[in-house]
Amino acid sequence: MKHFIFSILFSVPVALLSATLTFANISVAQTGNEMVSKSDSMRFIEDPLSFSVEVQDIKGSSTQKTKYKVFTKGKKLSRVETIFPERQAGRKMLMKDDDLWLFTPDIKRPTRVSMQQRLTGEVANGDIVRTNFADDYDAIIKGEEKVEGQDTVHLYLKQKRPEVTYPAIDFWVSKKEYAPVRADFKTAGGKSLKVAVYTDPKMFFGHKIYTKIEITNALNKTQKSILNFSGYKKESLDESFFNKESLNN
Amino acid sequence: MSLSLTKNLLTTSFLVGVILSFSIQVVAAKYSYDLGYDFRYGVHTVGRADTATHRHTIEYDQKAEYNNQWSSILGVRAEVEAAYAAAPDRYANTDVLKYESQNFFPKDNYIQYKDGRFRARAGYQQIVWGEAFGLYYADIVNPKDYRNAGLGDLSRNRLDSPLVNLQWINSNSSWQALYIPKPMFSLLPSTGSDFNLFQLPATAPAIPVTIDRNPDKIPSQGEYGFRYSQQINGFDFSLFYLNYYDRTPVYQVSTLFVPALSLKATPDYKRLQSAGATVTVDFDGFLVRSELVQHLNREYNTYNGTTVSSDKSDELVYVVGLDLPPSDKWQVGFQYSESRLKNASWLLRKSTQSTIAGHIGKTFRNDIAFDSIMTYYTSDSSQLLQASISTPLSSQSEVAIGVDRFDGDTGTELGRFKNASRAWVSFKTLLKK
Repeated sequence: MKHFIFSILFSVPVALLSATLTFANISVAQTGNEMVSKSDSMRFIEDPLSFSVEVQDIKGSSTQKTKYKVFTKGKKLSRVETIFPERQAGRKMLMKDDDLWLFTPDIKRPTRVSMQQRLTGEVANGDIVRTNFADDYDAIIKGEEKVEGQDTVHLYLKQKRPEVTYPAIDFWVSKKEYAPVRADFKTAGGKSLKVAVYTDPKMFFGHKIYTKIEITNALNKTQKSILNFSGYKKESLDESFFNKESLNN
Repeated sequence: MSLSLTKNLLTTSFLVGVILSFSIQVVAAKYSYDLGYDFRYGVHTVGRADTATHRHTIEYDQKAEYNNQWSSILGVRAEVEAAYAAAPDRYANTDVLKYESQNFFPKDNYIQYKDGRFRARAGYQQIVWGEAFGLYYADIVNPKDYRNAGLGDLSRNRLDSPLVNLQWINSNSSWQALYIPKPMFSLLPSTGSDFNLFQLPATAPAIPVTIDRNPDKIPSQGEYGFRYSQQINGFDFSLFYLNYYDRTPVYQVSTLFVPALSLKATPDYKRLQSAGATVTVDFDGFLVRSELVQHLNREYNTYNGTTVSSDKSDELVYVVGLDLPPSDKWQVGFQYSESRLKNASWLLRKSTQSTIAGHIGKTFRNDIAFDSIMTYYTSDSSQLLQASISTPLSSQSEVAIGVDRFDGDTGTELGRFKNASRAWVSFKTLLKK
């Protein structure tokens, strides 16, 4: 797989709930959002840090491997550098709020690219660097189910704004600690696009982080991507590191 | 301190910096290497199908990081072009065979100091201003290698210059100041080249034109400039100014009678000031790029029917581009650019030149990539089609095939290169450590 996409999401201020909502609806939505926030904390650390992502892109019998080094700071700043394959080494992608820049050694300058570039691959860049659902979706509890062998709470996430890559997500979190279990990313019409399963929790800096995501194309189940996260390291990253002018560095 | 002394000290400091950089590599705490090789072979597709290019290139880059503040880059590129010797009846006794068969270029060679938001670099480097693709509109700092009409990688055609580059980078803005103690100039196609640009009026075939390769007047004064960039509410914009020597010369033409009647064209590089702005914004997936550059009192060759001379004119260049939202991984973009000269008397070019360019590309499964660019000069209907398909052979190498086709009437901006049209194959590999 070549281009990783910056998919999902960037944060916006949490919208004020409409005064017309009923008390019961408010209560349910807050509970669902709290579960999503708790789940986010097991997929993403907000401290400035770096980590590696190895992606195996499987289509039928062929497998492509790609490796990235990712730098993040908070929810809105991330920088992805291609490590493998070597012929693509030196490519960098900067994501800042909803803005994206690409740096390639042959052009040798940061080039602004459309946020729609997030969509040009099997796996979204947001699947790597941005796993924050709480800021971008409102959650509604749909019930309790047994999924992937676990007792889970079924949440329905609806986008808060059009910039979000996936209009809706069916999201299952563990009933015990609201850990991520499975996500079904959908179109506005409710059609399933891809399914992600979260496994391999490990402890980093006192956080439990799920380090493996298996993403299957819902339309063609022979296409899947396996993302392995590793090498988490705390970094001292000034915000200037996430300025496009720093990409040529 | 006099200006010349300052300049000499700065020039010396570059050399010392480069030597120091190289020496320190040996004891660097952390360093990495890239070794690249590529090969390109092409044949002419218009007229006789002889060799258009047969080029081998080796590149070496070394990065050393001494600590969090200090680092250095060392890079070189060497090229051998065998096409000119392989086609003696086409290129024999031409400058292109003599001067363009072997090349050696410094790549990035600088030492860097970084402390928080401040960054300083001294040595050979590339400074890239601008947002548009293809032609170098706002990309005015470094000289360019135009010997192949700009075909190929942009970073290869941009020649590294020795300079001091100071930057203050904030989270959403940056300031940049440049000082270039020794001006460098673009490489233009030699006499006999497929891409010979020499635009003197037609002379009788019996009177050859020789370009003076050792002109007496070589500019030596320093150059300087600055740039400010800002990202705000989804807008990227920048302002810049450069006080420098025009990277392309005007020619002073004289007549020689010994050993035979001929014309000698001596390049003369004129001081120039340029200022401009760039703006880029993403409108819900529709990306708009724009650049505007004003060259003040730029000097151009003129011809009044009997005499080749030169005159000054302000030049306004602007470009607007639109990238459409990707659809099924297809990427499509368009670009319109225009160059306007205020004083249009006796120019050897049209006072207003405009181009329309379209780009279509897609990356398929297994990183197989298709890319094409069509450029059309509206002022004279000449055009250039560039198309290529590349496929990886391994994690380190790839092979590509492509065509560069020029079309239009003889004497038009792109049609004059019709006979340089070519089909090519290339192989690239990169080793990293």
